[in-house]
Amino acid sequence: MPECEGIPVSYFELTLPLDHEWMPDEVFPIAARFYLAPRGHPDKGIVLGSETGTCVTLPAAFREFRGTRRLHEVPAEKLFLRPTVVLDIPKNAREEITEEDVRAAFDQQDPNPGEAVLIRTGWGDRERHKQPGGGYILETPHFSLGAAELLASRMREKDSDLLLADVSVIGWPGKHMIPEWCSLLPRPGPWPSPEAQMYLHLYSGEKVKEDFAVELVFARAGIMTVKRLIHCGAIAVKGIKIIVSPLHIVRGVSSTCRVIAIEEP
Amino acid sequence: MRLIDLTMPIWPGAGYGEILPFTNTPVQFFEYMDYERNGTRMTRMKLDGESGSPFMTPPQHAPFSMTPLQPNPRYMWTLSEIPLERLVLHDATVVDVSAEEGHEITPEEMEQAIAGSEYHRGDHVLLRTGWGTLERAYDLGIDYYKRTPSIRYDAALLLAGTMERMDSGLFMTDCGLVNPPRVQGHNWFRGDSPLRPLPKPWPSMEARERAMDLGGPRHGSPEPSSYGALIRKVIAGCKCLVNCHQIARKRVKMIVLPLLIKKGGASPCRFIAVED
Repeated sequence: MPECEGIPVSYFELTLPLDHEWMPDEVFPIAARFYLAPRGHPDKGIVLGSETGTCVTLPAAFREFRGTRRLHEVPAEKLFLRPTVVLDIPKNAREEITEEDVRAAFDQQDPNPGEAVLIRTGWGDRERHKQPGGGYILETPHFSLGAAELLASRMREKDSDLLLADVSVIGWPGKHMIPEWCSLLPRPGPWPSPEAQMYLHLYSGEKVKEDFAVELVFARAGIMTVKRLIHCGAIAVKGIKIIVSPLHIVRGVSSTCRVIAIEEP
Repeated sequence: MRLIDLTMPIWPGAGYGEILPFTNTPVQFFEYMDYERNGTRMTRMKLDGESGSPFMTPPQHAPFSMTPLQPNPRYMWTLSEIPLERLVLHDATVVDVSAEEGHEITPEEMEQAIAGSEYHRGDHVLLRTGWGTLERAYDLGIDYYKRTPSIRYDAALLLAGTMERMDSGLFMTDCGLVNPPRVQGHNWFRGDSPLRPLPKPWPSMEARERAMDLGGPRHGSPEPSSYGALIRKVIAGCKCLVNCHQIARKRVKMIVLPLLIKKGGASPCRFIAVED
């Protein structure tokens, strides 16, 4: 077991790997295809979307909050070695995280001031991200609007501005994107497929507000969100330190990231 | 506890993506959802394994080719195979060689710097020249790389040998390039016949022609590669770190996190120094 200052510690990789052969999150038109191209290929390098895989999203991702902090301005202390409380809200496929779930989780474990909050549903431990099809995204548990409002309010009370979850999407884009995009069969590819380009051309700010109402609740509260964590079930204690390591993008508002949990006995 | 971010940021048009013919290609962003139309932003990013402050393993061209940059490397781990304890809160020693613009670090300077460091067995190595600052990177563009200090081959050999004896895993530096610019940019931006105006990198026609002329994507100088000497002995080579002057101590703990690319060979990376 590795040690830090003589104290044994355990590290846990909570990151969805970036797999150039197949990514499980390329379901919606808002996803950009991840690929690697070898040397000698015109696209040599790494092509990815700002929300590819495990990713962090800042409030500035939304127009209303674009005046707020960007990725290169986030102090390292906000993302690296941040004390974090793990709150368990076990959920099955397609289930919603409710207001009552959030209340019960906080009753069980009250975060300390300033701690980040990791919501563990168990979804990221079911290996759905390794299975073909869109199930990892389309069957994920997700937050209801009421749960998001209560969670954001509780987090603000605790001066907490970092929420992590092992769900594939934070809110359910069920007003427009799910019925409109998922009714297209066979389902078109993500951006930049012609269908995705056309869809996003017509996907107005008003539609986004309705589909991303849950995400906007967190953005309004100044909370950064991290989604698509996996293997959180390996964490044995409620109090951990978390590392969220996004790309250091100038004026970026979201980024794929690496997430590591550190458990000290 | 103090955290110091040593990471070179990523932005479109950054100098590191514009200076070399193929080893590091341009950073390009495309906003396919934007505030005006969609009320939110989504960005497609074209990066390279060497964008920002890169983390480059010996099999740098993995997953497509597992042939290491140099024969018989000590380590052949890809990005997804490196144990976390080598990346998270690992001890590192700061080896100081204060170097002026364009200076090539000599074996004598390297030896003296190693002797003056607090080097423990197993430490990662951070070679600090003082060159890497955010202000300089933002202001100088490609000149940041043309004018960077670097490591002479014999000095790199000396450091590589020391790192092997000390069982060190990572080599990090705030130099823009590890190889001297005259070697890395031989007959591209330096050398007997540099190209003027400087062409765009790969996939420009000039870069393709250069690959044809060299019989592959190599630097083209007859001199051996300083980076090659080092990469044979380490888990990864890391360059373009910034703001290392903010480290007050001779030893720190490092958080070094490249993207978790399955069987990947190189990636932009975050570097955070932790001082107690």
